[in-house]
Amino acid sequence: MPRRTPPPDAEPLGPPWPGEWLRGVLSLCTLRVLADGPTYGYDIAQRLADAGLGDIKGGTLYPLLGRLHAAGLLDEEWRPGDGGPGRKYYALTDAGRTHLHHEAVRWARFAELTQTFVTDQEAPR
Amino acid sequence: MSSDSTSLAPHVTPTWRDAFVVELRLRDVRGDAIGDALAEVDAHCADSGQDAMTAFGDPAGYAGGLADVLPTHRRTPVRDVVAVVLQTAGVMGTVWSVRPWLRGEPLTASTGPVVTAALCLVVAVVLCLAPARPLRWFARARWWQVALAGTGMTAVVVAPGALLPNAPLTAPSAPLAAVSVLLLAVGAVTLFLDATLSDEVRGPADAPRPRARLRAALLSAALPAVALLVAAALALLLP
Repeated sequence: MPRRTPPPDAEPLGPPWPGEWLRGVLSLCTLRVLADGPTYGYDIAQRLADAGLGDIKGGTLYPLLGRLHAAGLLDEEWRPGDGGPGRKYYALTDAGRTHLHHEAVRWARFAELTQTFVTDQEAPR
Repeated sequence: MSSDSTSLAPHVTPTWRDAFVVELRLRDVRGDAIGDALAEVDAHCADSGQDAMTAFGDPAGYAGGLADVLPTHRRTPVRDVVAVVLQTAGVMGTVWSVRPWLRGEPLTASTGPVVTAALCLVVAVVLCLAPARPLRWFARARWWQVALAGTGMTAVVVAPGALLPNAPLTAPSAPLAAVSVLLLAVGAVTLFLDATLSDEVRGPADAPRPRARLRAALLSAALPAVALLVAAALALLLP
């Protein structure tokens, strides 16, 4: 599984992203991590950190994974660890993959719209 | 709580683990789902080298965030209340009526103890139907707070026995003893049928313990056995 290189302006240069921003994108980003192949919670957190999203706590990540699983977007499977404890691997279901593709397109439109809006030249009325 | 959770999560401190398990139990989450969630916390702590408090925060808060998506027991409040009432009435009836029955006498009791008995039933029902909030308080309270609450409750229940005027009531002891023993048996069966009795916390790799049903049966039979022993001891030892 290739690791994506973090964008140049990512953490740790700035302060952590506001929690309310992350809440909006975290499930989509998690699905995107799993589009590269099945993996376990801690590795998902590492990849999100590598992508520049910052330190995602277990207390945020695992309830999110649980909700995605309950929504039928993820499969879960315990695999024995080498020497250490086993790990629960998450994998995208077909529904999860479809959801990711649809929402990624919509997200791109939303992000572009927001960026255009908030960085637009200020015109005093 | 099962002692198995110790071996389930060696990388999690006992304090964090116990608070987490208690909170999920209070939310009626099934034992296998609790073991699964605990094993995942343990794996995360082992991988990250962080302790559970740092990685997951407050155990009750984390359990609360997780509980919505975990499988729970179907609540059966009517059956629970019936089981508790039957057991409590059976215990009190047996302890009271076996001795006079063995002596061929009617059961005599004054108003006070009868009111106390009725209050015991009310307390049993209230505890059974109590929402999670007061039970959560008991789970977190210090020993002296629990002792104080328990003593207060006992005083309220016992007070009528001492305060109410002594107006003796009589009842035939043989049918009362028979009905009480029957209630004990029915109560024990109802308790045994309650799935939560054999619902232990177990990890994703653990099969259900073969002796879980046996342990549940022994646990269900414990209260009737104690009641019968006390009744027999009263009959034999009291003049």
